[in-house]
Amino acid sequence: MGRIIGIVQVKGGVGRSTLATNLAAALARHGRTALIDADVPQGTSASWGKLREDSGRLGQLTVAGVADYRALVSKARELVAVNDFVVIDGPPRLAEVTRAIMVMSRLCLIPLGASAAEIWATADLVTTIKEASARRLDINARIVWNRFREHTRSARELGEAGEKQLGLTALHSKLGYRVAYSEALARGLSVAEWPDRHAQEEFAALVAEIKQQLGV
Amino acid sequence: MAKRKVKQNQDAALGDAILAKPDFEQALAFAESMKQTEGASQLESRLPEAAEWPVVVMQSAVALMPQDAVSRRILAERARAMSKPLNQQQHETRDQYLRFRLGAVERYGIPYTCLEELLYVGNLARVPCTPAFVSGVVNYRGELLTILDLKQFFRMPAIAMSDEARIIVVRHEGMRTGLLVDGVDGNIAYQDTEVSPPLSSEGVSNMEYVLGVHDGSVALLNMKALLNDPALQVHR
Repeated sequence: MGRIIGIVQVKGGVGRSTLATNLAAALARHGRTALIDADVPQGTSASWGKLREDSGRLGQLTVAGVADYRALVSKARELVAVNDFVVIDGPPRLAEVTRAIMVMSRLCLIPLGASAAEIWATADLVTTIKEASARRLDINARIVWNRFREHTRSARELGEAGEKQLGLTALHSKLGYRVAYSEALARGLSVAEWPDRHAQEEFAALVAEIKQQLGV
Repeated sequence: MAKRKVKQNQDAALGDAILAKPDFEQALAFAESMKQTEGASQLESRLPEAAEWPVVVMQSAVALMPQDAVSRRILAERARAMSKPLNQQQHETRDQYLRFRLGAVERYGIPYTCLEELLYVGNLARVPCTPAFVSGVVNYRGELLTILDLKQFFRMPAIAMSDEARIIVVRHEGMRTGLLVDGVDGNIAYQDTEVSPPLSSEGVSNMEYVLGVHDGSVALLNMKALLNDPALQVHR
């Protein structure tokens, strides 16, 4: 039985697909991996997968798209049986799909930029986590700081305050504000395949931490 | 409560519940338990009061957030709109039409919803005793398909048929016909809001078949009006 890693965020444009595609590409180097794009019709991850398939880079990676939560659960059930990792890219809404992802995932990653608007948007996810908790459903959620400018005081402070306010812990590894992510995504590549050493290193550190969280 | 739980998960090894994941039945049940619409009052109460935020956030985040009643109402409305399931949200719809030429310069469009296929002009068999705008019939997948010469139908001057001429097979409410056109330019994406109403002018005979004008010069055809034209109804 594989491990499901869900990527959820109700706000758009925070880097869900960036995280999902790069994580899927990285995990596919360690084991059979599936990437499910649950943000159809936008389908950023699915499009990335198509580009990757066309250039013959899929390797151990399978990419699928699903349109609703029932399709998602049945696809996840099917893929988790034959893969070591299943990465699910959620939609930018607090929809049934998002709730299903949160409950299914062994590890639920919430990409978040250190901006007030993104922290507010995440409050809705926290409400859902509380609701799940009240129903005795454990949700193992972690913030992944994205587009983080380590050197700015406001980002650091907002980051710390955000974690405190939301009651969620963040992974230590943070992703910086780098062109490499969007450039790689647009070409069906991962940052590991893009010539930006800083991006490669920070993402490798994140993957290591995620694997540690997953106990692999 | 959630805070404590998350902390515990982090500090200790992963809990049994997490290690047992995925439980698909639980996931389905939790997804289906979602409240479809939440009352406005609930959403408003969820917007944090400025006083509840830690000092640092007060200085940075909340300082950016408008605090007046009007803004809070707008934010609550926005939250409500975003919490709706996808099919209830307002979406910009972009449709496509096929652009084609009649004569040397006139450009028309047919919405994709009516479009079935494009054919080369092959063995077009003339049918005696039919109006001039019926070019003839072709064998289309074993059926006889009537081909309408749109130029004749719109009483436009005839020009010689070139290699670029095509038959556009259209279908509307069960009625299928082929339209003979002088050339097909390609697919154009458009939005309803970009279509302006047709200007009525004298000497234009096909105004009633035009839905509107896109991009200043492309007349989008109203397939319903065209195919229901009495001139095309044989049995009446």
